Amino acid sequence: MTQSPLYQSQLTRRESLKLFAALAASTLLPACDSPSQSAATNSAASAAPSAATGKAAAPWPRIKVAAITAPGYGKDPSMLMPPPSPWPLTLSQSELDKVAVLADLILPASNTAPAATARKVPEVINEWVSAPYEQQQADRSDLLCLFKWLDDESHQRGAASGFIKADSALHHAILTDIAFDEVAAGYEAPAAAFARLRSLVVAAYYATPEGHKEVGYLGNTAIAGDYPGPSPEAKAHLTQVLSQLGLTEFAYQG
Amino acid sequence: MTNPVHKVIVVGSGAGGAMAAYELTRQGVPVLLLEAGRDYDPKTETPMFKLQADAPLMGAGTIDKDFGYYDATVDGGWTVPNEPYTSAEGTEFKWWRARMLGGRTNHWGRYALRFSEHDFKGKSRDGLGADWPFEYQELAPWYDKTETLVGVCGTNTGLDDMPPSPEGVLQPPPTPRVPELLIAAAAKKLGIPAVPMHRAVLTQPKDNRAACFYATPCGHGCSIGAAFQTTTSLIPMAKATGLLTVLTNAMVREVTTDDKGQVTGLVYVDKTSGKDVTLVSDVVILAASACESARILLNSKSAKHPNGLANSSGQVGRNLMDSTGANLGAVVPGLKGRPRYNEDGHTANHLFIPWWGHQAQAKGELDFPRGYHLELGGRFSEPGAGFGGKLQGFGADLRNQVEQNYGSYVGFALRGEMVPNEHCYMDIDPEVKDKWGIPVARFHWQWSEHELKQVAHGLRTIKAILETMGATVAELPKPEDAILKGGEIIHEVGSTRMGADPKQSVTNQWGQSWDCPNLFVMDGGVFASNPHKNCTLTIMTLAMRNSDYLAKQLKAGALSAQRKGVAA
Repeated sequence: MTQSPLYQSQLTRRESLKLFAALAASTLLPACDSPSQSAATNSAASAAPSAATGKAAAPWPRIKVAAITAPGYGKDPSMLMPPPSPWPLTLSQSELDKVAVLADLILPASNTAPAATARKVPEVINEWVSAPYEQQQADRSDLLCLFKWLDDESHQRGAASGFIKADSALHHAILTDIAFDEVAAGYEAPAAAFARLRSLVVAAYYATPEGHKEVGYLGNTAIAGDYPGPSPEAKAHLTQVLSQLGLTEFAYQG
Repeated sequence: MTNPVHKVIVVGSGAGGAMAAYELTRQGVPVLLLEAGRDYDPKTETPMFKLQADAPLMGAGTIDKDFGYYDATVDGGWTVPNEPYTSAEGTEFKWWRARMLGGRTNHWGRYALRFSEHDFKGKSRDGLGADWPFEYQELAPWYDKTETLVGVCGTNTGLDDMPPSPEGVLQPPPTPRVPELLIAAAAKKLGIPAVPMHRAVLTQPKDNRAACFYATPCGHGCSIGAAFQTTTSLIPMAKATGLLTVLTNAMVREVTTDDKGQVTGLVYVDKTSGKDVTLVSDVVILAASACESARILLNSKSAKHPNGLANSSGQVGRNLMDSTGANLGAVVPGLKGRPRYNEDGHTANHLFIPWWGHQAQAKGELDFPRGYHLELGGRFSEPGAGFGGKLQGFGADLRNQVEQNYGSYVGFALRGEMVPNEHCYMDIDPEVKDKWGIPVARFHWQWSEHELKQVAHGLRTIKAILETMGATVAELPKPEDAILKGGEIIHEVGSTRMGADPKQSVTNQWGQSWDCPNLFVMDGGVFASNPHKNCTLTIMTLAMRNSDYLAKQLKAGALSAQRKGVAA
């Protein structure tokens, strides 16, 4: 008894978002062009140097990000036909470019699956950081600061034209300094912002029909009759785990 | 112009109100049902099979849709536009409301556990709170009828926390999934049983409702009627009698009384016009939710009822209880990278851990008086905004981490009984009014040591189970940090409690107010205590039983003579 959606947009949600972004980007003011306010705030002097460069981390910029005042989707939006782009998209083209480069560093193409940009992950991030809600606005502030910091850090490491145009080796060197739980002193703030971006990229990548297949989500399909429960392989694996944990004699008997 | 005299007006279309309308109309009593929110039809509005990817923000919760984009709740959640509530300084309470036909039954967890004999007589055991004015055996046949009507899957476990249903009442439960089976084994080693949850989800067809097809979270609503909500069951069934009239967007301002103090009807705001409308009726049943009903009563002041209607005991708004809540989980190494299969099931607990400590409590072995149960989470769920688990690094290895993490996290949710205390109550804010000029509820809240000790015990138990499963659990949080806020479990009850003594309670055992015989309360407000089990099944059971009592009273000619021929 399969049900099909009542309405299927010709464009996927992400294609629509991409269109809206293109329209928006031409008229946008830069979101964070307040150089006077991006002066050093944390104490670079106390920061330990990067293992790779021997230099202290660039200071975490304090950018004053203008609040988003657009309305949200409200308390009674259509659930059958969600709005394709509920609020104005705010990332500039250069910011979207940074999201794209970072997203593909986080999830590059594999032998069997495409890179993050091929799934329009930057469009989802743009919608996310443009939303007028508390969590999303906090993320927006962190990400815009991260973008600025990546440029500052790139300059500091000799890439005069900033992060995007730096070479792959520098991209990897900088991310290696901020992508793990254990980071050197001075890298905590960019590491936290990067972790947030990574979570969003991974979610946006796998929250797709293709991502479901890759990770092995097999639900959202109607089953006629009783729920079948674990597959033979899953049962065999459980038996093995119970045995390894010394729990075989306590197995659920139903 | 003559204002027609309604036989019975029911306020609220959720679990209590819809059941009252069903039972009364079934017995031939005409009912006018008022709902403060809009009309809602799950058959045409439920986002069945919709992917998180198709929703804004990958379906993430926001202040507009607190439980995610697809949560069935309409015009509600922790906030309702133009209808605020307040908390007394230094305290916090969260109040979930829905403004839609069917109320919160459209999204509830469908956990449907009977209260047991222990649950009705807590005070007799430990001296705390209040006993109910009847024994379990009094309610048992009504549970039978309600479970049969609602459709509940589960089994008779034989455990003392789960009284049995008669043969043929329960539908078969769905088979357990791998994380639940591993938890069950680990818990059993510790002497703690895990058993099938009872859920108001059909696993076999009933009436016009289809059996569950094991897809689409029940919290989104259920267009096929498998997951119980009043909008696909009780309300259409009551309408089919021809005796039910439903008015939506009707927000009750106050219940009216005559100079003898008896109820004459009510005044509601028609939200579409903003105008007040007066209705006359023989009987008013409040089932607007525990706190909304208490708010209406406290706002219905008159010379005869200076402290609010039905409040000669001073107990309206007092004795407010929620369930305790705390969460703890961990990645289980043995579950990493496990074989994939469809684990949607009926999208909630197939197994859970009921309270196993009645005997230990009787022997004085525990330092807290009331029990709790553990709900079990963790499965191959649909990737959405929070997907991925704890990750490190970037690049090629990240895919491997994601695939290994998927389905390896196991979470426990504690739900426990709190004891009412003098610091937990609601009254009317002296300053704040809603858009309609109705004074709003103000909450006061403070957990006692009973709840904190219970949560501490629960966290230690969960840690022991997780470690038996091979997980590493960090240092446990303090119970005062781990316990969720008052109201957050959305099991608020007790604000118009029933009892045997008019000085200590608002209603008698039938939900009939001591002060006005033609005023009934049929929501969770009448609970004398708040057992750890979800309150909805018992709200419905009491509403059925007490509506049967009311119908018999009306048939006998009681409660109606006084209103004959009244013109407004």
